Amino acid sequence: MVAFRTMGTKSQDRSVRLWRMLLGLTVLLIGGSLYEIFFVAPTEEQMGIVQKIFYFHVPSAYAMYVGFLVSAIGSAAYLKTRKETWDAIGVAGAEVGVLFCAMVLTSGPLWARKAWGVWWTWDPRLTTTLLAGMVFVAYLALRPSRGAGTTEKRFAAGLAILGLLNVPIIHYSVQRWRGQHPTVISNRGGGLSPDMYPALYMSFFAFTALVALLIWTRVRVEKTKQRVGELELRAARAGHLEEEEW
Amino acid sequence: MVSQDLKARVRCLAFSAIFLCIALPLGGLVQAQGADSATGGESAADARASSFRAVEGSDAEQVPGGSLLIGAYGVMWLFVFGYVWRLQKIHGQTREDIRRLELALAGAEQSGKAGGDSEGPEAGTDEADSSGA
Repeated sequence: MVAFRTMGTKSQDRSVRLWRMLLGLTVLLIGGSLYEIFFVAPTEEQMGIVQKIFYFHVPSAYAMYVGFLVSAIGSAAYLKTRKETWDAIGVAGAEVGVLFCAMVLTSGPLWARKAWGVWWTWDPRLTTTLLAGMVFVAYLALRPSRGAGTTEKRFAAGLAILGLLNVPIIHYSVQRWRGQHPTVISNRGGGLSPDMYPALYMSFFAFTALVALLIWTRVRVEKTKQRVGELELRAARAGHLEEEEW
Repeated sequence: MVSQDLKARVRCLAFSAIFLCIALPLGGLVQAQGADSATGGESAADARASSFRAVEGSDAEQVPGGSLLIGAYGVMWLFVFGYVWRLQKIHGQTREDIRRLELALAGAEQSGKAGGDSEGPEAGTDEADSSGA
């Protein structure tokens, strides 16, 4: 028992130290990427300054993919093992994925207003991104904020796996259905000016750190919520909890 | 109770899916009709090649790139900080719940011992799991 406690405290200390290191790294990378974007990367010839949205829009989309992938992996593992930790990972991935999806769907129209003259168009990539976001919003809506039951968790896990199937469709939609969405960093595109790459790479590193930090933090919060559920159950079983109180 | 709640959620999800199935094609249709009426059924390139039309409203549209850029970055960081604030709020609330429940359980165990209850407290089954992610 004591050994368990000691091990738990040590591992907790290490976990907190690692989390703080990741936080510091994320702040540094974000600061560096903002410097690269606004002070080093050149202004684009045709679109002007609004093209700089690209440096956060594309990494946001990548972070969204990571979130949805983590959610689907966590959900699949939960369905197989029924361990609560995997469920926490599934929720964390979905929530962070939806956050970055909201960023993509907000920054994209602001760029499109200048580049295309419209806020929104039913382009294949835009539509499939919206659909993926809606699937994971449905995942989150299926789970109550407090004490999701096993049935809800299993149903939501299935939805997350289904939602992941949409991700390759988003990615290859431009190639398959020829939308208006730019393809500058794909094989079909003409590429970026060499001076623009450092800002883009720096943003990718910054968003990788940010998505890892947010998922990690969300998993910890979810595990704390699960502990509340366990304690409530123990208290209720022992008859020390008024049902209407909770 | 749980199954009723789940049924309500599934019903809500089904309505959302139906709405989505109707809204998306309708949106596409409205946009396609708008494009058709603007160009008389021709493509934008054909319309430009065959006729010149007077602009309606102001004669030139100036879209401010700087404001859009600031708006995009501002909204994105607002989302991130809003999410972090929400996580902090949930975490604070759950920690408070844990503290109250642990106090309630400890109090109950102590009163059980004082009352001559021979059954020992439940061994800390959650110790290993409380170390976080």
